Amino acid sequence: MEYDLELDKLLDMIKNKDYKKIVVQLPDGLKPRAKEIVDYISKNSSCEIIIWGGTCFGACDLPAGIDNLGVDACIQWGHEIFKRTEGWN
Amino acid sequence: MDYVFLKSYYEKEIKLTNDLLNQISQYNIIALFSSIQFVPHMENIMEQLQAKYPDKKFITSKPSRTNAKFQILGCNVYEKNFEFNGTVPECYLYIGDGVFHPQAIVLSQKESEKLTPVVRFNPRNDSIKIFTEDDIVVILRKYRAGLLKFLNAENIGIYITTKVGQQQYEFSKKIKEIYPKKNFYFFASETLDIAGLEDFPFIDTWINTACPRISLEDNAEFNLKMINIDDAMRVKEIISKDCILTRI
Repeated sequence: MEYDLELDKLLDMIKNKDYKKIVVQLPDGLKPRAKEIVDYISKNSSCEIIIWGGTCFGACDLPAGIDNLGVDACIQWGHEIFKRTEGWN
Repeated sequence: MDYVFLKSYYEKEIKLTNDLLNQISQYNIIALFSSIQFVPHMENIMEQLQAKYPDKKFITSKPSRTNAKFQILGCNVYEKNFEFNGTVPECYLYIGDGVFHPQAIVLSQKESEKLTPVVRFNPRNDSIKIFTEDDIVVILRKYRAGLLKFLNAENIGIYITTKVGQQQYEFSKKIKEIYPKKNFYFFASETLDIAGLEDFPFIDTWINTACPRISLEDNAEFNLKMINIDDAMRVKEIISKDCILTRI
């Protein structure tokens, strides 16, 4: 594959932080690889995984309301933390 | 709840092609950018360019809101987002796939007198795309129409998202001080329901605070008559400029 999903890093994080339930959020280009992610994590841990079906245009585009699902973490691929500003100009 | 970002770096080696090197040979100062996936390759790419063209100047910056040198975000659609310490690039070279990010560089020049070309090199298939004014003409014409409509609008809807990374409610309230004679109404949802805007027929025009690309590409596609909050705050200044946006 051309893009590194960092699944070993994620698995370590799940174990170290004791995540029981996570949301997997992928940009459109990586959505076809959701199965690969879920299968790998499910095979190597007991963490529950929910795939976010909405948009993922950037680190700013975090799903609102997923805390209602009782998840421990939202894992977003393909983006990097950003610095918020007032407006964009 | 934690938020974790995994960058999905591009894993393959990137070797610039002769086609690309020839394409940029006409420029002397070239600014390099990429999306986060390609950032780890950018120092090596700069070395390849400098080795081929030792007399040319290759520069970059860390645009507003980014977390890494060379990185560009989709919301970097304003000239002020890019700082080159006084150096003016003759060309932008974007490394990566897709259109969203390189088009941000093109759109960031909307208030410039002329467009500095943006060349995209896609390492996945070694293809080259050159972005010109033709790529943004429809977007900017419709955006300009939105700016003009705002000037005469009396009742204005301000769209706010509840997404934590995009929410700009407090900032957007400042517009009431700039236009005390206009009526502003605030609307919130997680994701913009474009068809749902028509359920509020008393709104003459809309201001967007969620993602600036909604007011650019989506506005052009769906005829939203929606402008960005930053631009709404300075409409008269923008439309009085001699620039790509007012001329195109």
